[in-house]
Amino acid sequence: MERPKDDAKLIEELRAQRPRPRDEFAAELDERATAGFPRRGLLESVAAAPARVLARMRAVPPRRVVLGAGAASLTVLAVVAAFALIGDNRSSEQLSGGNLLSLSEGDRAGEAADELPGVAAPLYGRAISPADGGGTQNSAPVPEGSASAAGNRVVERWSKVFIGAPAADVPAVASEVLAVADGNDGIVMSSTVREGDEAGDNLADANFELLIPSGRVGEAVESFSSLGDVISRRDSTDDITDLTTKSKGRARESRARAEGLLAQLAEVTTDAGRKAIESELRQERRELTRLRARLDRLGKRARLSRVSVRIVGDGASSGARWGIGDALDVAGHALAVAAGVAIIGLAVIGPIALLVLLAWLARRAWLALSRRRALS
Amino acid sequence: MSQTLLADAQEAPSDADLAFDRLYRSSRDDVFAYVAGLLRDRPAAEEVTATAFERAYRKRSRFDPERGEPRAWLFGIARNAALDELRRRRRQAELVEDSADPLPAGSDDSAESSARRAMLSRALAELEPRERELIALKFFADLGNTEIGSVLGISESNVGTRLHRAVAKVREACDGAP
Repeated sequence: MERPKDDAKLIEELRAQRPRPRDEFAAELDERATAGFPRRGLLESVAAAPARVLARMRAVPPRRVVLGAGAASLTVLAVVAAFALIGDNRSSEQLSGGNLLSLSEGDRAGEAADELPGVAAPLYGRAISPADGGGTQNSAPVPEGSASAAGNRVVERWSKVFIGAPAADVPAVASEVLAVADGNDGIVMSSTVREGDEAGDNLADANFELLIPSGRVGEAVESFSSLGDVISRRDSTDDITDLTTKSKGRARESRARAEGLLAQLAEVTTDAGRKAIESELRQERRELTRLRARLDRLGKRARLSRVSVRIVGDGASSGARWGIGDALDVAGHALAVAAGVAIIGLAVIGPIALLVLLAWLARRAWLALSRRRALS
Repeated sequence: MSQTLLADAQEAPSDADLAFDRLYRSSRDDVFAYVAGLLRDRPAAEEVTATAFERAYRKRSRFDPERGEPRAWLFGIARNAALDELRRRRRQAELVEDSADPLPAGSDDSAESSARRAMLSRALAELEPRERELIALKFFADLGNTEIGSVLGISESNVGTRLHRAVAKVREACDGAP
């Protein structure tokens, strides 16, 4: 028997070995191509899917099942542990919040006390002295349930109450507003009362800008609402925890730097060196003072809630009910709600999308690997 | 295969449809030949060929001419479908021992010609699957070395080297045959 002796002949013979499709198959494929390759037996395929999945699961070796279950369990445990750790960190940040209020060099004793377990107080539970070196003062404790203290978060809250009353009663209602504010240890930032007779057109209204301790703001707003017909009321909150935590961190760093400079100052021997360090120290103290002032403002924002009360007499209420300011307020509120919903949506969808992406990448890599193995 | 594909379409076929039509008509038999040469199983090769064209049809709008030739793209899809078939059936071990002869038997074959065909078929069966795939792509599907390199993800020169080695193996097998 003659065997191929040269490549050309061998290649020719190899080409002759080329498999050719059956005519029936070729015709059927052409037909399907003409029809745009409709999916074959989609319904049957869907119906057979459970059986196919079961068959695949049965084909998986028990070792792989155990490994997969183990990996899944570890992942769940890791996620739970991560969430638990994050929660603990947040709690510790809040519990250590009181330390920064005693940053001044003259308040070492208070600082030490703050660091004792169980002694630390939340930021909004203390009055902050804006004076540098003034130390801390303990104010009356904010009752539990304060909106600003909820869930260890530092929350700023404000309310707007729009009340309608008979025009003649506006001055009396205004007096009751002040009484309610006083009764709740509130502070009157501004107040205007306009009586109908003065205006000469039977219009009467009153406006109050108040600061009410956050722990009592709910009770106070309820009292305001009962003074007349509530036309509108809006309560808003703003979480300032992150801002507060960052400020505390910066203040802590600033204090550490100041302490370091003081230590250097004690050891310096030359005038020039001492002057340089003193200059840095002055700068650091200014920074510390600035941070304390910021913490003070944040503390006040959390401790005292702003409450706007507006009273309109019958004659003025219809005209004053809606203005550009009100419309802007409502629009701003709507935008804030929409943004909040979008952020929450992203917070939910983002991790899920990331997991799906990782799973898809893993599957792709596994598929590529198993295809390579199929030929090895 | 002279009919125009997508004739039933209500709208005028897009450029992608027309290009796919041309690709299908020019490559149908080549794809089958490659897949059958790799799998050495005609029914499976028909199934995989159909699957490959289905996948390619659904992905036709995603084909980027700047990333390679249409035939290389199509054969890449066909290769994945064939490898999926190999994985699914776990036929790797069986393929080596596969006794099914995928080769068309000529009706006018002489005894000598038949014997030569059988000898070559055995030589191909003894090749490593990767080498058999190269032979199938080169001599059954009639792809150039550049296209083969694109399909397999290797360089053109590497294709040449491997092909030479595979052909040498076939020749050695034929020379060593009784």
